[in-house]
Amino acid sequence: MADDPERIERAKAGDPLAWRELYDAHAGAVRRALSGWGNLSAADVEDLVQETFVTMVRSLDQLRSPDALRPWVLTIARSLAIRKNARDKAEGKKRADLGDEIPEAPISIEDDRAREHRIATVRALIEALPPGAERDTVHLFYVEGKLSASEIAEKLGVGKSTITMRLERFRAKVKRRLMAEM
Amino acid sequence: MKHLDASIWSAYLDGSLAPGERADVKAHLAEDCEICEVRIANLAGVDRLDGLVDDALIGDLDSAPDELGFARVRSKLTKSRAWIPAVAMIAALVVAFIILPKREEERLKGPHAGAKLSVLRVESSLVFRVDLDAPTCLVLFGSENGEPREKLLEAPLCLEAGRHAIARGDDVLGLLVTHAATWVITLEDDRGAVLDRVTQVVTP
Repeated sequence: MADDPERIERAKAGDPLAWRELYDAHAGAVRRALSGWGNLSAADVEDLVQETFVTMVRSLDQLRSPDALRPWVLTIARSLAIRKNARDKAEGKKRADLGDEIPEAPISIEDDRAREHRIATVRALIEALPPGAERDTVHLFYVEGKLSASEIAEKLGVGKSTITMRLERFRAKVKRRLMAEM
Repeated sequence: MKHLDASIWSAYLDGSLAPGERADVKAHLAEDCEICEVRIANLAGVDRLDGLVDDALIGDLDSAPDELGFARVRSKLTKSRAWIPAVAMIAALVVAFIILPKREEERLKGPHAGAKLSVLRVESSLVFRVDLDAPTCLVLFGSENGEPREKLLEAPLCLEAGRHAIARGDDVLGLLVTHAATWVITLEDDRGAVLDRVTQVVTP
């Protein structure tokens, strides 16, 4: 986001207004990413959105490319969700020792053209999906972008795990394609 | 070409594959391969590509303002203030608010005798009680060790006459006591008139 570098500097100085601007700019994307995860409740998602932003603000000194804030925040969110899942699985046993390290910044320094190209690649992959359940699921979640995985499961009359599995499979397709372009 | 595994994936991301091997992997990745996609979906942990992938999938998104979510983020960042689930401290609250109100604070009465603020220590937090003679919309401010005061409530809290904990739904407003400090808590109405003020010295 174009305003991120300036907001980041103010946020590092402890300006609550900058925290607010960063939250408003990125919380929706973090919430959407987390709401496609397998076993997170709506309350879990909200807790993780907040935890992601607290972690982000406290770790801004580690961000090497201020233009890449959005992918970095999404990486933090994914990392915290994985950590939560591991802790939940270890509940009642020894707690997982996952450390508190902050994920590395994404692989390349952002520029608008590269980002637009990646978004266009995703859209082309969605369009190329054959009509059917996977396409319907991906379209509802990533193109329309309003319903959570649970809500899509209810709409399509399948279990939530079916939806999250379809989303993960499509995400892997995107990751494979983006990796091929590196 | 063999399918991806974790070691090839890692070496490809790190750029440590030999040029010929890298070209093979790149060519294979450019083709549809369900086996590789299943393996990618099952890779453990987070790698440096994940954030870019999620950003590309989500794209630009308009989201509605989330006042409550940000209030909680800010509360955590400022460390001292928190909305505490009442159920987590219900026994202590019953004692503090109903059975045995304990007054340790120095009171500086405000001009409105009809509103009384009490600051009470419950476990590791300070919590707040108000006694109102009439329905009132309240704003609460706190100042720690003479620092500029900050709003402890994001929006005015409108209450009926009677005794109330400062709470929102099932959460009670608390100031977490993490270090020795002197807090000055000011209760105002929503027009800025001071109703009451309490000075509280706390130790962890």
